[in-house]
Amino acid sequence: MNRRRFLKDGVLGVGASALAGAAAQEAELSAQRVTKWDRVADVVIAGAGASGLCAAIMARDEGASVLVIDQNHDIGGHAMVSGGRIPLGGGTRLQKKFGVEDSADKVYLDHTNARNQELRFSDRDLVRVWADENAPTFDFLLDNGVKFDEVMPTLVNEGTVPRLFRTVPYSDDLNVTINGSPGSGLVRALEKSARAKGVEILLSHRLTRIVRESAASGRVQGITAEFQGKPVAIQARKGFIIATGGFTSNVAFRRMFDPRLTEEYQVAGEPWSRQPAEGEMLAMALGAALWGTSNVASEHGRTITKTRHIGARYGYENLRWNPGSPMFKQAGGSGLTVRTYQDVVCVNQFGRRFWNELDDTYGYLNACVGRQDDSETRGKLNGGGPIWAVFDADGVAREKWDPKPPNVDPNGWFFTAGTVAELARKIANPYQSKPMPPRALEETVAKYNSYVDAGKDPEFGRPGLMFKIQKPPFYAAWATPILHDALAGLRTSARSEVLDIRGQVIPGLYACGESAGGFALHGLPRVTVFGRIAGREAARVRT
Amino acid sequence: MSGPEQTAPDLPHDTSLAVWDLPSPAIAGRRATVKAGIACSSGCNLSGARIDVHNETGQRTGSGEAGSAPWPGTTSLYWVELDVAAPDMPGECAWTLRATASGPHAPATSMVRVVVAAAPQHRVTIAVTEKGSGGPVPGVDVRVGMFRGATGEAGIAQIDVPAGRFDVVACKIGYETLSSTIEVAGDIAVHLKAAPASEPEQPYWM
Ligand SMILES: Cc1cc2nc3c(=O)[nH]c(=O)nc-3n(C[C@H](O)[C@H](O)[C@H](O)COP(=O)(O)OP(=O)(O)OC[C@H]3O[C@@H](n4cnc5c(N)ncnc54)[C@H](O)[C@@H]3O)c2cc1C
Ligand SMILES: [Zn+2]
Repeated sequence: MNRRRFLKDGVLGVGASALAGAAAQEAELSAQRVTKWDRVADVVIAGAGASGLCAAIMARDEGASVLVIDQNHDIGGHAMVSGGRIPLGGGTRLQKKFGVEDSADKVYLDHTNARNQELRFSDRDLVRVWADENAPTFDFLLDNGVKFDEVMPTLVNEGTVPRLFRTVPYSDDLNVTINGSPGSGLVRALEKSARAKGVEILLSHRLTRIVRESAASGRVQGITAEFQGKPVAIQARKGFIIATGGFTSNVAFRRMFDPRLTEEYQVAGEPWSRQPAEGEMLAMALGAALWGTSNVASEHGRTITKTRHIGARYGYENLRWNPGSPMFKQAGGSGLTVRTYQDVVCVNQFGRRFWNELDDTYGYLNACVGRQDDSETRGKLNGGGPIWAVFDADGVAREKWDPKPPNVDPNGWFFTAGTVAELARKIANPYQSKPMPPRALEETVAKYNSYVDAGKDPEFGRPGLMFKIQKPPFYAAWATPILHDALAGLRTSARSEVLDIRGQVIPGLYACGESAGGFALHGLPRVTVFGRIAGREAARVRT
Repeated sequence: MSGPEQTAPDLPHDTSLAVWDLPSPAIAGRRATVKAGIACSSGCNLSGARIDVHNETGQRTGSGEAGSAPWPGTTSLYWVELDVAAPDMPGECAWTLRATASGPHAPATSMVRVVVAAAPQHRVTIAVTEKGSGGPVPGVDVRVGMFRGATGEAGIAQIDVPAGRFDVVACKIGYETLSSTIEVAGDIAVHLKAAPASEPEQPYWM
C-alpha cells in the first residue's frame, strides 16, 4: 500500500472516530443527567441478598434512612437457597456458649496461611478487617433474629478453631423458604428485622445506572433503576452500595477470568436468583478496578463444581430442587442423586468418554471444560460442551433411582431409549451443538464394557471397574459441571469503598458481598461481614 | 407411534440393536444365552424381526425371532433370548449380531466382545460381614477375576472358577470397596469385612 495514502486515511480515520466518540459520550451524558429524583435516602443499596440486608440494617442502626432495591420479585438472592453455613469466629456468643476460645488474631492467621491453596491470593488488609469484624457480625446476626442450630461448632477452611454454625430454615412453608434451605433462616430473619427498623425494600427494581457528578470524577449521587420498564431515579445522599451478588450468571464477564466458562455452564442458585454482574459493570464504567482475579481460576474452591444431581438442568451438589418449591416449574427437575459414579460413564457431546469418572478433583473439571475432540479444530472452540452421564437399567437399580419426572427433566436434560444408538439420536439440548453420532456412543459403551471384562481401563485409568452398561433401557442425563462462586469482584478499601484502577476512592460508592473481590473465602462469612462494614461506613459519611 | 407418517415411505428407517445379559465370561464348549433387541428410530413394531449371531468365522451360532412385547421400560425394543454356542477354546472372541426386519427397515448389526473361560472346577464361597457389627451384608457385587456374583440375604456369594490366581473385588453402595487376591487350587472360603463408607462429606459451603 502507498505509504502516504495510508497515513492520510489513518489520520483521518482516527480523527473522525475520536470526534464522533467524544460527541457521542457528551450526548449520552446529557441524556443521562438526572434532573429530578423520584426517591431519596441517605443510603441506597442494590441487592437484597445476604450482604445487602446486612448493609441495610447496619446503616439503619447508624441512623441513616435506607432504601434497598432488588431486581427479583422477592428478597434473599443466592443466600435464600444456601446451606446457611456461616463459619464466623473470633469469640462469638455461640462459640463462648460451647466453650470455644477464639480471637480475631487467630481468625486472621487461619485465613492467611500461605499453605492454604484457596486463600493465599487474598488481600490481607481485607482479611484483617474481616477478622476483626467476625465476632461482631455473628452477634449482629443473632441480635437481628437469625437462629442457628445450637450444636458444637466444627472446623472448616483448614482453620484451627471450631467456627461453623448453621442457620435453621425459617419455616416449613416452601412459599416462604423457596426451597426449604437453611439459608432462608438467615435472609428472612434479616428481612424482618430490616423492615421493622424502617428499611424500605423495592422489589422488581433493577439497577441500571450509577449517577456520578461527572463520568470521571466527583461523588456518586444516586442510581437509576428500572421498574416495569420505566426508569426510577433514586438519590443516595450519603452513599450507594453495590450488593448485587457477583458475576456467575454473566457469560462474557466470567470469561474475563476463565475463557473456558462458556454458556453451557449453569449456575447454582438459578433459576431463583441471578448474578448478572451489573453492579460490577456499572462501577467499572466509572473506572472501578477488579481485585483478586486469580481466585477465580486458582483451581481451588468452588468456581466450578462436579454435578451431583444428574438429569436436570441445575444439579449443584447442595441444592436439590424440591418439587413443592414455587420455583420448581422453572427448575424443571430435581435430578438423580449420584451415590457413585461407578454406575455411569460420562461422555462429551461427541459421545466419547474423556476422563476417569470417579475423579473428584479439578483434573476431572479441567477435562470437562477442555477440548473434547481432536477433529474439532474450528467452530465453538471454548468450553467443553455438554457432558452426559450414560447408564443402563442395572445402574438405575443399583442406585435405586426412579428415572421419571419430577426427578428428571425430559425437556432436554434427560433421555431414555431402548438401544444405545437410539439414545444418542434422541439427545437434543440447547447446548448440544450437533447431534451425537450414534456409532460413536455405541463404540464408547462397547469399549467401556470390554474394559469391565478386562478389569482395567487403559484409556483413563478408572479403578474398580465392576458394571457393564448393557441392559435396556439406556439413559443419558445432563451432568455438565455447574458454577457456584464469584471469587473475584470490585476492589474495595478496608471500609468497603470502591477503588478505581489507580487505587483512588470513588466517593460515595461502596461494594460488598460477592460483588467485592480480593478475598477468596466462600460465601456467607465474607459477604455478611463486608455487608455490615459497607452499611456502617456509608451511613457515617458526613454530608 | 409417530414415525411412519412422518418419514417418507421410500426412506429406510434407522434400526439399532441392544445386546445384554451376555455371559461374562462364557464357558468354553458350552451353550450360552444372551438377550438381543431391535428398535426402529420411528418406533415401529418390529416383533418377528430375525436376529442371528455369527462367530468370527462367519458361522451362524444362534438365531431367533423378536417377540411381540417390547422390553419392559422401553416403548419399542423388540427382543428375544438367544441360545448360542460358545467357542471351544478359552480366550476372547467377537460375535456379530444381525437383525433383519421387514418393511422400510435397514438391517442392524452389532459386534460384541465375549470373553471365554475354561470350565470352572472350584467353588469360591465369599462371606461378607459388616466391620464392627459382624452382621451379613447382602447385595454385594463380587468379582473373582472375570467371574461375577452377588451376596444373598446371608451375605454369601458362591462363584465357580477354574484354578488360578484371581483378584477379588467386592462393592456395594454405602460400603468401602474391598479388594484382595486369592489363589484357587480347590474349593475355598473367603471372608471379607466391609466397612460402612462415610457418606461423602457434606461440604461446608453447601
Ligand atoms: C445453593 C447454594 C448454597 C450455598 N450455601 C452456602 C453455605 O452453606 N454457606 C456459605 O457461606 N455460603 C453459601 N452459599 C453462597 C452464598 O449464598 C453467597 O455467597 C451469598 O448469598 C452471596 O451474597 P450476596 O449478597 O453477595 O449475593 P446474593 O445473596 O446472591 O444477593 C444478590 C441480590 O442482588 C440482586 N441483584 C442482582 N443484580 C441486580 C440488579 N442489577 N439490580 C437489582 N438487584 C440485583 C439479586 O436479585 C439478589 O437478590 C451458597 C450458594 C448457593 C447458590
Ligand atoms: Zn420403522
